[in-house]
Amino acid sequence: MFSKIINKLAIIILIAIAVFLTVFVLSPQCSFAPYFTGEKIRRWFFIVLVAALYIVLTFCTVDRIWRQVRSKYNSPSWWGSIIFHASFYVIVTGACISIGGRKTGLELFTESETVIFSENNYLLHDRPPFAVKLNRFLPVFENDMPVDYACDFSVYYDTAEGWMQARKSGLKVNMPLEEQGVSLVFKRWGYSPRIIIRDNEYNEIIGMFNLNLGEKIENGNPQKFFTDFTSVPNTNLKLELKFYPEMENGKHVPAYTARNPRIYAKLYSGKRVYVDGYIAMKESLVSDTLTLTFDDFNYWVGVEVVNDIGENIVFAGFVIAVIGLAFRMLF
Amino acid sequence: MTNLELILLKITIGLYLVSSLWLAGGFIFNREKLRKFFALPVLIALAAHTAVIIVRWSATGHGPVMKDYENALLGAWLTVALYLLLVFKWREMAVIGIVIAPLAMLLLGYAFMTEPVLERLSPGYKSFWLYVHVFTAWLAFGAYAIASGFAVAFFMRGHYDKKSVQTKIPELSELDLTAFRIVLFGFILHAIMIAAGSIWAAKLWGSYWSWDPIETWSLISWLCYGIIIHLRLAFAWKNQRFAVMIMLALVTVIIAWLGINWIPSSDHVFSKLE
Repeated sequence: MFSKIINKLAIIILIAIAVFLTVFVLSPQCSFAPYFTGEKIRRWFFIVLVAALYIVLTFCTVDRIWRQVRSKYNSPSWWGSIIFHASFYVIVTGACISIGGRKTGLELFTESETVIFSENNYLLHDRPPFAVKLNRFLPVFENDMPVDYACDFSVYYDTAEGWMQARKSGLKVNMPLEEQGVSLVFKRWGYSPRIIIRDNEYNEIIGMFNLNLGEKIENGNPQKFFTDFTSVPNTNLKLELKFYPEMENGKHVPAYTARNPRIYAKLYSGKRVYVDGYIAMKESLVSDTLTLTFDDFNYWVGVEVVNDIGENIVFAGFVIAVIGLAFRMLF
Repeated sequence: MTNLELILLKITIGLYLVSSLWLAGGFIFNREKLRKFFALPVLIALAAHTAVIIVRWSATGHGPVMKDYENALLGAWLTVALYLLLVFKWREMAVIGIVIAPLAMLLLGYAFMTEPVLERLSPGYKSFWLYVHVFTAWLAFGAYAIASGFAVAFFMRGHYDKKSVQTKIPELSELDLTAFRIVLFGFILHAIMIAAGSIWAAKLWGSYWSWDPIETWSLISWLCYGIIIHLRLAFAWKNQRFAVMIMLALVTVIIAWLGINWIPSSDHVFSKLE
């Protein structure tokens, strides 16, 4: 009788979860929130449903173990079922830890730049801080399409003698860099042109600008370029910058590889425009008061930093679930 | 798509059509000769299908795991291969080919209508877990499709029994039990598929679960099959009820696959790293 009630409850809750998830997915999407389901599952009724499933699962598992222990015929298949049900505890526990303790962020590295990871920014859970330096970014292009990305990083530890290099490590798409429980996942990349702005007195304002990939349609063709709109540090100057990896005879050629790069720069303050135009590397745009030079360029990479101790618990839960199901099926 | 691949694909679709007619003819006209060699035309079609995959693989340099065309190619192949394995073990189960052969033909027909351009693997796809994910996904979906075939055979047998017509379709209890075993097999692979997808997502996006619509659909269809299995084991929902449920649950699988096209904001579109 008890088993029947528990089983009925379990079925009702599972159906309710499936129905709610279906409604969540099918309900209209918001353009500003594409990951709509993630927001909706945090609603109280869904959390109550998952909690109810957790409780029912507890009774169900205890009941199953009790019946199995009392039974003279110890079927491995039955144990498989218990293991499978128990795996849900592990998965849900891991997921709860993830929701509560997961720390993420996006770090941008320009080549030769170092970022320090410490208790302050990525909750290292009392583990020692470390620093990561991007030595080089090596995109691999074939027929102008990116076929692979490789980042060459160095990891540094904070020692009594200062920051010491501990190891070199690569980072690729699908191959995160793991350090002190923190994963660095390759997310995006772009060009980082080095711009020098000089005033009349030849004072230099130097900036490396990290530009994201942008695209616009010209004459029906998509034009790829890297673009940003930014303020020049320590001034009231605004800079609109576009990086065209390939330009021939004054026309943009859709390309990722910087074989013949040009930049478009517009430097202004309020309504006053100082310089506005296209220049190649080592060329300058000159106004009566300011000179803007496209000095050089290198790459930047965007890395998703993830510190999630719940993740491995969830994966362990998956393994237990599959073992349980295999037992259920094979015996 | 190369010319050779196109020719082979057309031949394969034609062979699946012949297989469908052969299998249907064997039953409708009750021809013993046709029934005796049920698996033969499907086996020939699978050989041609294998050739399409080999040609495609050599042209692209990677397994058929990218986009609708390659997914349909692999999905149909695994479903038919699973069916033939089943038939070699239990010859009398060949009857479900009436569902499997047209399904393979439709899948390849659908694939043919998409734009099967030759493409390299984009960086996001270069993962061992992708192959585990896609392979287990299609094995699971294939198993569910075969289980639906059993459901159809179940109703056919029931129909013949009512009219007291002699048939070569296996006993109802046998069909029911085999369908359950296949659903369970699919359910395990479905779980592995979700787990492999999560591991891949953690390495690619830094998040093992992001409630992406496709992920959620996959979970919904897994839950549906979980409910079916639970109902059968705990409340003895067998035979006709079980057959109806596995046919209905297949709809969630179809949505999980084709839904990718309807939901452009899904992470599964893979535009972000291209």
